[in-house]
This record gives sequence, structure tokens and C-alpha cells, in this order.
Amino acid sequence: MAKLPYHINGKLHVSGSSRFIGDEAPLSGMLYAKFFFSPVAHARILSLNHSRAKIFPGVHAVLCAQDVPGENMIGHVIKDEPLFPESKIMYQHQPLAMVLAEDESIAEAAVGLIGLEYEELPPILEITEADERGEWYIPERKIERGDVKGAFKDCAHILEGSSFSGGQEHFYMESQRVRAIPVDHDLIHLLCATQSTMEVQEVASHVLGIPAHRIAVEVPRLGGAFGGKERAATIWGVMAALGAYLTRRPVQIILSRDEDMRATGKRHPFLSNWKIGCDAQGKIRAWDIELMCNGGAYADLSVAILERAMFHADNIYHIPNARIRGRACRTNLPPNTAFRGFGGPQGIFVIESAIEKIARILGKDPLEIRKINAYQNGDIAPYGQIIKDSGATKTLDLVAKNADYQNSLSEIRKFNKENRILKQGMGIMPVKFGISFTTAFLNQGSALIWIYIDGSVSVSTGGVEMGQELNSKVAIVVAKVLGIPFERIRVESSHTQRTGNASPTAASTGSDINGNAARIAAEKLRANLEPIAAKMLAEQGNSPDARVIFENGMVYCAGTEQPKLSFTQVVVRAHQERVALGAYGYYATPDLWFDRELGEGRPFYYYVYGAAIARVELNTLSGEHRIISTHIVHENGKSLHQEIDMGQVTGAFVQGMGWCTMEEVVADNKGRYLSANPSTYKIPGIRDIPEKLDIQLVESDSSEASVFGSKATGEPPLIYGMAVFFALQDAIRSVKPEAELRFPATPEALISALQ
Amino acid sequence: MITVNGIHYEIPEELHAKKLSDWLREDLMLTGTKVGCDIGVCGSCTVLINDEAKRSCKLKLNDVDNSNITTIEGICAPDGGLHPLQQAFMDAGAIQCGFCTPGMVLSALALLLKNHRPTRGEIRLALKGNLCRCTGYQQIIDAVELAAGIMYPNK
Repeated sequence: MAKLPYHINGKLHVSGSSRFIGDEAPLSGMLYAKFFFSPVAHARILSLNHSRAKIFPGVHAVLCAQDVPGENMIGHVIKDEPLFPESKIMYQHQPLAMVLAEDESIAEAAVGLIGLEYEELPPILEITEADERGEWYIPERKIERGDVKGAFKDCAHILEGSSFSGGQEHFYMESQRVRAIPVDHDLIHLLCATQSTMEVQEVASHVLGIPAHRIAVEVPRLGGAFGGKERAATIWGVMAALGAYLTRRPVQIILSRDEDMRATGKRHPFLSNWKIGCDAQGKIRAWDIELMCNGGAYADLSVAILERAMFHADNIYHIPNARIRGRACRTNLPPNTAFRGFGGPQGIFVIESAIEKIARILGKDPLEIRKINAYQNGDIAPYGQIIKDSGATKTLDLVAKNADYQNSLSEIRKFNKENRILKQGMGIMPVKFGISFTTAFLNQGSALIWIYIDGSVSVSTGGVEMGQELNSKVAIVVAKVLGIPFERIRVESSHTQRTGNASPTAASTGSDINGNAARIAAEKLRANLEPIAAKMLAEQGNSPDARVIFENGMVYCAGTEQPKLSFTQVVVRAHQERVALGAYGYYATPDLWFDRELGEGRPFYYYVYGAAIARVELNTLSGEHRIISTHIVHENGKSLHQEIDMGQVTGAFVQGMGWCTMEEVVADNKGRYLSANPSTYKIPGIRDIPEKLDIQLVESDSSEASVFGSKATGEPPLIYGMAVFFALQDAIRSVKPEAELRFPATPEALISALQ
Repeated sequence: MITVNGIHYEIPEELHAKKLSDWLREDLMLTGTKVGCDIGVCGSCTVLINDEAKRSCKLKLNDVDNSNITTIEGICAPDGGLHPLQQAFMDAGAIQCGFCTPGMVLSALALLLKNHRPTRGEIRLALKGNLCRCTGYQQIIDAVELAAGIMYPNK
């Protein structure tokens, strides 16, 4: 097959002609929204007065809680979050009222005329305080296997610790945005920057008190999302729907960077207390861990994120006796939400910190400790899933070889002996990441395909394109099944009128679910076309029983390449013979279940494995560092597109490295985010990436892989970034062996670890 | 007068204080210029002003009087064909979500107009003001190297 283009919409992007929401021409009569945000994190509302704002010239409406025609509730799984609070403010920058005006500056001026009287309440900001007060969305969750108490008795070494990993701002380049357009008089068309069309539709229909079919949600594309437009987009989508519904005018909301960073949730900070027991060689016998996350003011997805952290508290290690407990804590910060990895990285960080401690106390090589504990086929995870195709040892061995691990170790020892100020270190980060939504019913997807009579093809799925090149992968799948060139296919926006009830494009499952649904739809169409093609080929003298081949836009009989028909000829004839040229495909991931009471089940369809080794050089005077090299080995089944997967691994690694080395979400003691733009929050820039970044994708033949043997790549590689954290810790410990490095490893954290 | 992609515009007085990025997007409908942070840090709104990469969100029209501005829409060939640098971004896989892409391409172009054979270090330095949250930058550096070889083959 010819080399596939990287990006089905690459030409549009690179020429500036791809349209993001807000790029289309303004509609006549359109209103622009600005919000009156809460000035405090926790308070009782005494009065909210917007009478002056309402009569400000150019203002068409000021909306707040009492204007909601249906249910003032946007909480989804746990129903605890109002669209606008009625009596109680729960976080700083919570929207209390929305002004709709003829332009943004008028709306902004009118926001300044809104008066709020409130009685301030003490905010809860820290995990420990929330946990002590029992501020949990649901009671403690538990997964337990073996005899943890008994196993500790037989351990040669028992180590205890506490690990903290911090928040992370998504910093999608395109801020939250939506345009709502009233159509006819009974439909609202929402162009909404969301990863979840179904959720926006469903919640908007409840808030407006109208049926879901009167709300159409469409996503042309997103300028990045990373989980930050899964739940966190809903509130803005519903606001715009409400405005358009009540004013009968188009309404546009585009948050400024500052508003977006202050008002939306982030990656969950996690605090975990743990105890680990191992034998004299370092083989782990018992693992007792409690994970607590800072969920913010409302439940959002915190419980599911906590659950994924618990499912990853073992990472690649087989631990026969484990007790994993988790509590999701309510605080007065904006509701923390999905972020690439969804709790997985936070869970893995804890066990990796424990492994590092075992290696240090036992005086052993951390690579060796990891290898002797790695999952082998037939082992059972703490939640009962049997490990079938473990790639843990294989990827660790390969990355150690690629990074020339043993020689690098000696070089680093030598370098550190010879240098007083500069110190080098090396960090290892293995990954086992479970693929599937752990809420089993979400693992379903739909696709709709039309073949038009000129042979061009239109494909819709419920999946949202946000840079992960889902659309390219869907087109690859359809092109393969129909035997037509990639260029014949257009992958459409995600639109509830074409693919309804779509699960969020999340949990790395986008290509698995939507790609399989598209495969199934394409297979139906091919089955429709095959008898027509066979008949046409028979008319030209071929055996009517010969197998028909669809390839590269041509159709012919197996074994005889002549005569050939074009795909379009077959399509035209099929239409004339009244054969369906449109098909719907539906896919549900098989064999998934999890019993939350028992803490047992098979939550994942398969796992993705990989490992990274990073080498850094730290200036112990300034706290600055450079990443000399990073080697990554990533197992990804039979890739649909190697270069796209490579792009995902590279981007995710850099994002993960940013999370644990430079991205510090800072709030003051009143719960106000001080990190609110790129000058007060540092994401990796082009000069921060490793000087040498070597990534090897390893093809694997897993019986449980997904569409055409491929595996998910979205989230797992983010975790490789933590190799840099552990490399920095290693560099620090060459100076001060017992040093504890704070998360994230900013220059300040590195210097203070040395003091 | 301001020239944008070869077209001359007289600027009425009431627009003198308008932001260049807003004017390009709202008045000229050149929405390839993206606004990411609006405070001149993220680089998404980069345009070329007399062949120098500048952030259009930090400039008023007054500041660019008598300038020659090139936006992403202006670097394609008249027949719509891609500039070699644009093609290189596609071929090297330097695009994911596409939002930072126009600014990134223009910053890279400003570099290549001055330095026909930049080192990877020089590319990093020239693009330090352009943030990308998707790609991890590696393929962007590859794309600029690739484009240099195509634009100036005899170096």
C-alpha cells in the first residue's frame, strides 16, 4: 500500500482553512456571552442583583438560576452540580450569571454592573482536610486480593511512605467554546467544543425541559482536548443552549484563556499512603495503599478517575496480596476532571515511588527490582483480571538495550564522581495501561456510511477529532474494507443527528470503538456490492462463483486481473438495481464487566505495555536540568498508522514530562487559581524536549487487540514522562541519598530537596 | 495603509486602535490566524510583518501602518498549491489538532527566510515562542529541517 498521508485534514490545517468553532462568519443577530463569576470559593448567596446590567444598552438578557426552564442540574453520573448555583457558591470563578449582548465588550461592561451579596464560608482546599471531614462523593471503595495482613508477617522488608502527585492544566490551545443556533422554532443546533456530544445533548435537554431530539450537537473538530472537553465542556454548551432557547437568537461563548484556566477543573491531585512488603530479593509480597484525590466542588468524573487510579495501583507488577482503597474528596476548587490517563498515571506514580524505595533500601538496581516483579502470563491482577499477553518484561528488556542501560549507569557514576555541581541521573518508567471505559456500558460506538453514486464516500462516527487523527484512522479502516483510495473518503463532523448516543471520545478507545463501528458498516456495504460486482464480472465472461476482490478503487475476480471494473461502475449499477448504498455499523466491546461491591471483574478488553528510560543532567546550584536522552519502547499491536501512533507517543510523553517537572497549578489560600495564563503556568516548550528522543514501536500479536489488530495509543505514553521525574530524583540522590523530591520537580523543588 | 497577502487596505481612523488579530479574523475573515492566549505568549496568532514573525494579538493596527503582512493564507501558491514548508509539515507529521499550526509555520518561515540551513538547535530557538500541546515538537523540528532542504537545495 502507498504511504498514507499523516492527516486527513492536514492540508486544511496547514493552509489556515480548517474551521474551528468561532472561525465561521458571525451570524446576523448573534449575541455574545460573558459571565459574572464568583469572587470567592465558598459562600452563601444573599442576593444577586442584575437589574442594572439588564437595562445596559446592547444587552439582551442576563440569565441566572431562576431562568432555567427545566432542571437546574448538569451533574451527570452523580447529580450534584447546578448550571447556576441557587444558594451556595462552591468554587472560585463559578459562573453565577450570564450576560448576552450584541458584542463582547458590551457584555463585559454589563457584567461589571452585577451586584452580589454573600456570606463567605471557609473553603476546604486540601485533600487531607476534606478526607478528615468525610467530604466524599461516595463511600470508600476497595479492591482486595489474597491475605494482606498475613503476608506482611512473612516479609523481610516492610516500607512505608506517602506520595503526592499534583494537578495539571489541560492547556488545549483552543479554549472552551460553543455556538448555539436556533433553527425553525423547535431545534437548537449546538456547535460545541466537546468530546461528548451525547452528554451535552442529554444535559441540555434536561435543563431546557425539551426532548433530546430538539437539540442537535455537532463537533467539527477540536483544537486539543486531552480530557478537558469531556465533562468540562458541558456547562458551556448548556449555557449557550439556554441563551439561544430563551432569546431565539444565535449565542456564542468563547472563554478567554484566563477565564478558562480559572473556571475549569484540572487533573486530580492525588495523595496516597502506602505500605509495601517484600522478600530479601525485593520480590513484592504485600501492598496496602489508600488513594485520595482532590475532586473539587462537584463529583464530575472523580469517582471513575479514582477507580482507574485503583486499577493501576499495581502497574506492571504482580502482587499476590493487595489491598487498594480509594476515597474521592470534595473541596472548593473548580471540579477536577478527566485528563489523559484519567487517574492511571496518578496510581502508577505511587507504586513506582515504592519500587524506587525498595531498590534504595535493598541496595539493588531498580531495573532488576522491576523485572523480578513484572507480570507474567497467567498472573492475576488485584481486581481479578487474568493477564494474558504480558509485554512487561519484553518492553523493559528492549528499552534497557536501546538505552544501553548498564553502560549509561557506569558513565553516570563516573560523571557524578568527577563533577561537583552538575549531577546526572537515570529514571525508568514501565507501563501497563488498561484499555476500555471502566464503566462498561460506555464501550459502544456507531458509524454511518454513505457511498454516493460518483463513488465518493462519507463517513460519520460518534467520535470527535481533536488532533489524535481519529478521522484518519477511521478513513484507513473504511478504505481497507471497501478497497478504495483513502482520498475518496470524507470523514464528517460528529453530529448527534447522524450518530446519536455516542460515548465520549475518551479512555483511548476512540479508534477501537468508532473504527470498529465503521468497519462493520463498511463490511455491510461491501456485502451489498459484492453480488452486483460478481454479476457484472460474469457478464464480462468471468465465472459467477469467483471471489470478488475490491482493491485500490478497482474490482476484479481473484486470479484474473482482467477485466477490471471501477468501484464507481459497481456503485452506479448497485444504485440502479436498488441496492442500499448507506449502512449503519454498531460495535460493543465484548466481555467486559466489573462488580464494584466485590471489587472484582474484567474491566479491560486488553492492556498496552511499554517502558521508558530517561537520562538527565541537573545543575544542583540553579535547579535547572536538561534531558540528555529518553528512550521509549511502546507496544501497539498491529498499528493502523505507525506515524500517527508515533505522534501520539511523542506528544503524550512530552505532556507527561511537563506534568511532573514544570507544570505547577498554584492556588492561593482562598482557593483562587494563580496559574491563569501561559506566563504563570509553564507547559513544555520546544526547548524543553530531550536532546535525544528515541521511540520504538513494537508490533505485537495480541488476541485481544482491537480493529485489525491495532491497539490504543492515546493515554498510555503520557506515563513515560515520569521517567524524567525519577531520573531527577536519582540525580538528587547521588548527592543526598535519602532526599525526597516534591512533585512537580520544578527547579524550586529540586533545590529544596537538596537542602 | 496596510498590505495583507499582497492586497492594500486603507485603515479608517476608528480602526486604528483595533487589535491586528481581531482585524484579520473579523474584518478580513482570515481566520487561519488563531488566538490562543491573547496576551502574546502562546504564539498561535503569529503573522509575518515585513518577513519578521510577530504576535498579532499584541499589535494595534496603528502599530503596523505601512507594513507588509503575511498570514498563513498568504503563503500558498496562487493556484492554492502548498508552500514547501506547509508540505513539509504534512509530510513530517508535524500537525495534530492544527490550532497552533499556522503560527508555527509562519515562525518557521521567518527563520528559513534568514537562515537557509538552520541547525536543530537554531530551529528550537526560533520556535521557542510557539506553544504546541499535541505533538511534543519533535516532528515540527523534523518538518523545518525537511523544508530547508527543499526550499534551498543547493546549500
